[in-house]
Amino acid sequence: MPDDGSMSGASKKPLENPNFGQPKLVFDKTYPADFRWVRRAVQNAVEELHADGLGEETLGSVEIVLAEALNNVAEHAYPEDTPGDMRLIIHRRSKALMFEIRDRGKPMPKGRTPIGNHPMTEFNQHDAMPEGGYGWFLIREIVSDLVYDRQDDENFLVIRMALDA
Amino acid sequence: MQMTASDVGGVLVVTVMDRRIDAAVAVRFKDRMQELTQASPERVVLDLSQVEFLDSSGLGAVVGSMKHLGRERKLDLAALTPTVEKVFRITRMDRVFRIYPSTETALEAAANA
Repeated sequence: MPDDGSMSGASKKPLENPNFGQPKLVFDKTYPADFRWVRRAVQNAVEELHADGLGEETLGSVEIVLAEALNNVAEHAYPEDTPGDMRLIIHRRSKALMFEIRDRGKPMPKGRTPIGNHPMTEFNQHDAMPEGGYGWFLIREIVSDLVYDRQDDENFLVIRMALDA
Repeated sequence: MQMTASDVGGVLVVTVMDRRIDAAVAVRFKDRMQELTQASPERVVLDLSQVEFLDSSGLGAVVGSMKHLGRERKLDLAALTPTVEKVFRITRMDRVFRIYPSTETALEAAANA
């Protein structure tokens, strides 16, 4: 982002088009990383984005993506005896939502996000149908970009979801 | 997990009263399904009209419930709300389950079968 000088004289009409240029921060909250709080976090974020004018269809996709990404933190980031926090930050741009999920737990396996193939193969019989493994598949089907990074013992998952015009 | 079951003309209709089947309750959903479908008739219809959201854990629990019924019994789904429908569609589980727009149409389909 080149636009660090928001207080400079260049921004004469800062409120005229808040979606243009600098992304708008719409959400920044930290929660304990467990499933009950994932539910709360997802509901809070959806409420906030609803208030920001997003439609039901988009909110449904947001709800799926955030639930899966935060569940992953709740399930895998911290050892059971040492719970930690997760932070959800959402920026809105004119044609995209940017979700940033941070935690201070373990790094992702092999330092990257799972590939997220569909867990079902055509050889799966009724009895062998997988009951898990759909999470990353759902995320990847819905979002435009997914970037994972780790700095100073903190995990960053950055997700970009395109907004239809 | 609030769920009720009733026998409607030889079909067990299980209705989920909660608004979400997510990771926080997926295990309880599966346990409750097992309780309610113990000695159930051949066909079970799961009414999801009250469920606004289901994540991959909830999806896994529905798949697990279907598997638990075994080959002799059948689990059909009814009245998916838009986001729940989206999860089934994206994961292509809408091809694994028979999905009806409402419990009424699910029961009619049984009567005509």
